Amino acid sequence: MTEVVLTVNNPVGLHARPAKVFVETVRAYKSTVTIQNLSRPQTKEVPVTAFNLLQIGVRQGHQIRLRASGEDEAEVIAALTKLVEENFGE
Amino acid sequence: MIGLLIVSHSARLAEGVQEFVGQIGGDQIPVVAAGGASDGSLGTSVERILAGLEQLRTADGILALVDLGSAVMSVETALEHFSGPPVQISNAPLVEGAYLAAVEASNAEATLEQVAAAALQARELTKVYE
Repeated sequence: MTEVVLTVNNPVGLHARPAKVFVETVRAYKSTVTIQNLSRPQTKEVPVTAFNLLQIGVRQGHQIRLRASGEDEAEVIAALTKLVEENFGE
Repeated sequence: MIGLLIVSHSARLAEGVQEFVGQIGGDQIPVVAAGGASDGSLGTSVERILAGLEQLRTADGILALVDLGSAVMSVETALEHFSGPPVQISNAPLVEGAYLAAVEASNAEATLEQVAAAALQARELTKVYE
């Protein structure tokens, strides 16, 4: 299992287009990826899907923890980290 | 590839949802707006819906997202005159359903059933935390 904690800094958070890019990135790999919004303690660790991303309400400044399991877990975490750190290209 | 048909009583609302989904999905997903009555006033039009379905003819399946009441009846009537790919009418709320459907449909391998199921999740969405 590979894990990373990141701060989301883009203005809209993990919604709309960024959420879609996030889901598509996960889809491109074989590993299973979960996300937890550490800034909303009432939300749970959930698989990365469009619905779940809307549900956990990640806003600008929130901390997320990503966990990946599978043969390409390091690669998918690296790709997602890059997306978040580059603010989804926005 | 699954196509989305946006049916609303307001032509501008349908076009707005199309615009919203288009900005999310880019050009990956065919999304067609079929809102308003035949003369462009508020209402729904079997002709407009049928024209929209025809535009999506090359898709493997079509998910119709509707707003209220007669939008469903108009789609059902249009379907009686349409012999293209399979069509499902979604029970999902229009905007949220269209968004979730678009993200699912951006996977070219997604089936109509998968896109329809993704849209339907919108009914369970929590927007505001107490």
